[in-house]
Amino acid sequence: MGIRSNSEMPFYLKWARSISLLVFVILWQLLAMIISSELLPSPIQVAVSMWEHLQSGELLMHLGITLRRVAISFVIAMIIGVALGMLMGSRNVWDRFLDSIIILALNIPALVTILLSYIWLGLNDTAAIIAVAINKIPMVVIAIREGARAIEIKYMDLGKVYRLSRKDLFFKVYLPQLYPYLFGAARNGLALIWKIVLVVELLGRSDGVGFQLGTFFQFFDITSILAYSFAFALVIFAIEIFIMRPMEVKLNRWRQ
Amino acid sequence: MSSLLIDIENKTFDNGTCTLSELHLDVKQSEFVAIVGPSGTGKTTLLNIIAGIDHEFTGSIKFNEKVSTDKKISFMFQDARLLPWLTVQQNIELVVAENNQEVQARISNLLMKVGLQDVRDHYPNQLSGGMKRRVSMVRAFINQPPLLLMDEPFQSLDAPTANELRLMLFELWKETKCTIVFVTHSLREALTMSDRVAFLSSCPAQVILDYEIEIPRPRQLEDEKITMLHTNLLNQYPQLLSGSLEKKEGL
Repeated sequence: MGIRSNSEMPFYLKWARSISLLVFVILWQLLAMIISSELLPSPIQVAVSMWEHLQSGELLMHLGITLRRVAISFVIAMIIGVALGMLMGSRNVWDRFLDSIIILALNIPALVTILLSYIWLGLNDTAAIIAVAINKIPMVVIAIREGARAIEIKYMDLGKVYRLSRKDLFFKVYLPQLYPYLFGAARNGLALIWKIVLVVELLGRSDGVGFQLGTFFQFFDITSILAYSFAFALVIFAIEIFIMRPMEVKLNRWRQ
Repeated sequence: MSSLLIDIENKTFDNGTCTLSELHLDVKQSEFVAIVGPSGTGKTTLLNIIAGIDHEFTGSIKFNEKVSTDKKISFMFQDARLLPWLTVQQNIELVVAENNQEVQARISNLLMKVGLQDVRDHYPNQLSGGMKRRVSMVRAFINQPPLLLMDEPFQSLDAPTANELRLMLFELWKETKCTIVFVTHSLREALTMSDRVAFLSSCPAQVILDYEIEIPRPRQLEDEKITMLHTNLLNQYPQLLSGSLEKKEGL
């Protein structure tokens, strides 16, 4: 993957991300104007609707509730997934014992976990978050296991020869080798988790973006459905631009 | 009298191949000993055992009369082996037990000696092969180690760079008076660098010849005396580098 610095890129490449989005919105607007049906609101209508929902305060409230669920299940899934992935990637015994469980977990439909979680634990937030985390953990495990298998023994030997403390050996020698895998898992995780959280909310919660979408669906309020979805997509965009990408750049400084 | 006593009775790998057997070698304090042997004899294994990262053997390694779990062993590997995600400075600091002003001064001083004071904030990927080796040499000396193990550290460098590094190593060794065990497959390098050369047999490895070098220092790889010694040794023992003192092959 060739990463070029912003300064030496031609104009159109520098703004490529924004341009493609703009083209998409324009095409959508044109299409909405041609079809001129309530089934396809134009981007302007969606933006107006988003503004109205924002003004009333409910959009922010539901967004906040959903984000909180996303954050908690993300953290739980990453911690458990990373720990299991490292264990399985470095200890053959654990890998063999847990492998079939992971494959099984990976292939259970999200819907099944969600339904069972609600049935067994009740229609509450704990059940919702556990259901989401269980869906994500196996994917994190698979990604991190790959990374743990690719750990360079020669660097670990260096650490042992120079008698590094366990802390230094882990944080300065072991973990940096896992960063690319951690990043991949985090990025995919975020995208997947918020989608599952919406389903969980639709099925068994009385607040959050998913619940709202369900309500709008019953009224066939397509504009509001799109307004809510794009509001959430904007949040994810912001996380990508302001947290993920700067972190990645910082951690990749040494690759030149 | 502090010294390194190597007594390896047996070292066998899991797959059953025996690599070291009845290998005994005493290294005096501040002595520079080179170990020469055919490739695949387990020279690297020997260093790993001395370094204490390989415990699967019978016998003992004693350093200063103690079983060697000493914290201050340094190691130079076949590759520079710098962590690519740490800067030059951070790579050196990594092996320091306690970072303080005195250590900082030592790092600056050593970087200056090897001519790397300007790249301390660079990442290894930005350095040439020779520069990386110099960093790894600074890392090896930063703890003022009583014992330094070297595993063909100047391999795969061009001749002038390797010569320059040998000179730096010699200077640092003279200053610190550390004990050095230097593994190489180049007889000429061993004769130039060391006080004493231990020749290993082929598998299972033992010391077959313990040869003291009396040529005064400083020596250069291309010195006539080194060349003469090199020729004499190989005339006397034609199979020496294949790990045998026999005159003819196949006995």
